[in-house]
Amino acid sequence: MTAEPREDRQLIERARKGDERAFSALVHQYEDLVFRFAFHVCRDEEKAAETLQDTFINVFRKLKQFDGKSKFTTWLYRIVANNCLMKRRRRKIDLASLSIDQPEGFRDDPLRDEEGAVIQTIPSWKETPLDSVMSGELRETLDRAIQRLPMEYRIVFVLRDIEGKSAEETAKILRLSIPAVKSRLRRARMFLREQLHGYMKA
Amino acid sequence: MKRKQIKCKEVASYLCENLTEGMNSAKCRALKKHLSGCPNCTAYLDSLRKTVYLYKTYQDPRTPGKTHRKLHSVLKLARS
Repeated sequence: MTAEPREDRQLIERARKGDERAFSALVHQYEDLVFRFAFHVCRDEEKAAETLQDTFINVFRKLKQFDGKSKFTTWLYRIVANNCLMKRRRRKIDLASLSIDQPEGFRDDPLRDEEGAVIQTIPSWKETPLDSVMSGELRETLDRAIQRLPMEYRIVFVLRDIEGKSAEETAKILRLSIPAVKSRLRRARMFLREQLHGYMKA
Repeated sequence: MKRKQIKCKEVASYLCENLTEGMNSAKCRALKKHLSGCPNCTAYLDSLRKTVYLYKTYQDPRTPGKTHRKLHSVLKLARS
């Protein structure tokens, strides 16, 4: 098995062989990781709880198939991501809004002052508050924006920018190429930035 | 041959893709030079960093007690 702490490798091996206490310890070990990831993707406590349950039922059923060639967490994230993708609401996705290739305010030929310096046409953002002092309006803006982001892009954004996974690991989790991960992340960041711009511009 | 001047559109696209990567390649040196004279791209980079920061710091949820208890009783049933 790869890059797992020794204790975890032993736990996984014992759980694979049907040791119930080892399986229970494995669930204790990873349930916060699964809940946090599911919550960030679903933005809903009830859906995250449902995903948590479905994920560990899948783990219980499929643990014997886990061959240890990838990290256990890679396999776990993949199960959660698949659960989230299966649960997504079938809806018409506004893909046009994800094809932003020139943010508002950018010009091919920027405006310049008399001395040739570029004049700022893109408003700066105000300072970001700490989580504890975020206003209700900002929280709603953040939730609304990420919920508008299609699930395929949202999962990449959460893995890369919230969970801090590398492009390589994200690609392994989602079975995508690295260029596909990069492209989805670029579009997700651009989209979310545009969605927050109205609220955050100074 | 004169090197083609980098455009804001290209900078924005690159920043969105490589925000958290190191900025030491030749391309990055050209970007840094552009950023130093372009308030628009500087503002855009700052807004991208703030976008990621806001989502990263907004909520760090733990499994609620009732969810934890339900999960373990469901799994106990599944194993029996």
